[in-house]
Amino acid sequence: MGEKMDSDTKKRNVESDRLSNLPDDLIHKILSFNDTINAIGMSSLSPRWRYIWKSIPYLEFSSDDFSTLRMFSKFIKNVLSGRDNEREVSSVKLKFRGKASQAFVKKVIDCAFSHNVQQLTVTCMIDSKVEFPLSLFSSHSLKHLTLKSDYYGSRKGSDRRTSITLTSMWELPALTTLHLDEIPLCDDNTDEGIGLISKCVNLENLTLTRCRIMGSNGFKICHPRLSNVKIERVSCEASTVCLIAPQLKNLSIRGWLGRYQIFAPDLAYLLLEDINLNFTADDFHSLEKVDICISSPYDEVPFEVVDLLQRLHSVKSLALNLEILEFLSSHVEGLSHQPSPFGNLESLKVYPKKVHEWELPKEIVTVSREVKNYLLDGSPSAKFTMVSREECRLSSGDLLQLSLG
Amino acid sequence: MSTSSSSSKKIVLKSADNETFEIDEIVALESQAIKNMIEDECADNVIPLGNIDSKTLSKIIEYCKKHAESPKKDDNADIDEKAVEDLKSFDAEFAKVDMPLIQDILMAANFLNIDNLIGLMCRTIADRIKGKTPEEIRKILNINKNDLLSPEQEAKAREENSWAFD
Repeated sequence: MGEKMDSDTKKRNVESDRLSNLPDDLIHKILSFNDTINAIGMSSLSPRWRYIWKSIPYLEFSSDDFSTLRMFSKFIKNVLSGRDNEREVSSVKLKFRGKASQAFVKKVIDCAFSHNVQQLTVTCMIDSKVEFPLSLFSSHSLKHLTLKSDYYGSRKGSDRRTSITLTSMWELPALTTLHLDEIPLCDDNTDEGIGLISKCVNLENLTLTRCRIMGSNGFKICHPRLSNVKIERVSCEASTVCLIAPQLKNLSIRGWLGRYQIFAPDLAYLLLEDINLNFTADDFHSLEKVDICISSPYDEVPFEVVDLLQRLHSVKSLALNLEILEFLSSHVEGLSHQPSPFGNLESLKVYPKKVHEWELPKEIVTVSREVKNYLLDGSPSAKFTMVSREECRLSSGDLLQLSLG
Repeated sequence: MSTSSSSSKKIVLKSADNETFEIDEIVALESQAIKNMIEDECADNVIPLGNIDSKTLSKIIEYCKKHAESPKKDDNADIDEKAVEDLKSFDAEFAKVDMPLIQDILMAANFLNIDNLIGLMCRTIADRIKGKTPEEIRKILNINKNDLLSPEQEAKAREENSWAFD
């Protein structure tokens, strides 16, 4: 027994540091998940790790790691001059506070572009009015760009004196994925020919998160190649967002205040969650899957709900939250002379969004036969599943699983 | 092992300690290396994996099964967010193992060329060493005591990089 333990321990010791025997690219990959400063910190571990940071193709800088911007700037300068400049740079993340005109911002972005970087994430932590010149971004190699603003030192979004303004225009012909997070979008930028989005001629994936649409002319996204669009918690109380994307396959809109016009005839997947139904759209020819969740439909106009459902007539697999059906059931008079819109339906799933008593209005109307007929008459063979609130409470739990399963 | 889809083609993997695992071909295809072997028709009925022990191999099979069952996310597929979430929580649970096993899985995943699993293991290692001192990292990674920098070298390394930690 003792002997076996000994040989096991020995074996473990000999084999223990197999990590150091890994090829460089795997060690780079491990280091890529943390900041560049962490990678440099690893250089005193062992000879294997000593110079490895110089060849990492991923750079990540954050001014959070430094007490002054001057120290941050010096650190960047030393990393860029100390690294092996022959090695490629495939991904760069830069997070900084203060003005975008600081020299280190340009230095990092220039280093990225001169090494044909493919992926770039820039986070601007703002504590005042900051202008961000988009002309910093001119690259023929960049494929993925995330541009994010974050409020530094002030309560999020509460202070109108802090804001970021995009100026000039970028040149990003190779870009396929763009994510804008908390970036105000001005309607000036949206002219069809020269707009922020249409300037990226090869763009396929667009995500807008928490962006505020400025101006009253609305925001127009008009792009022939876009295939996936996500719009999340974007606000444009007074104006319209117009999306014209003939190749669009997947669209999800969550938490939307405002009106929207959509032209996406080939759309296959649509998700609408907690939006108001001020929605105009041209015909969708081939919807595969639609998921609509309106947690408080009680303020909606029944006609608009019916109108939305009618636009989705080609859908094969539809999921609706129970509250929508209950709402329609309390307004059946609007349905009585409406034909069932769905001719291709293969499955209809209904699930409750609000499970607990206290979340619900005082009077709940049970789902009526008229509403069921309205939804299912056009496709009698469709599979119909309805999850009740009781079932949800009993399974005590994973709502998400029930809702979209 | 699995009793599902008995009609599908089976592949047998044999670990270093001679344990055999019969899996559906679709599960084995998660490994780019095995996929290439099958496509080049140089895979026998039993594929010997002489450098992977049975404990590691069964973990890897568990991972590949789950990922083979989940819908693949490509440009044309639906964005099935529930499936993505489900896979994420599976991955998080999967990675809750000790460091020697993580290292074993990473080495094996590298050999078998399973891209997602390599990424998951690298991320797990990165998370565990984040913000730790070199001494703590040596312990976590089990870096061989015979393979350290000499005190002079270490002092020199610190000196060289002092600009980073002022």
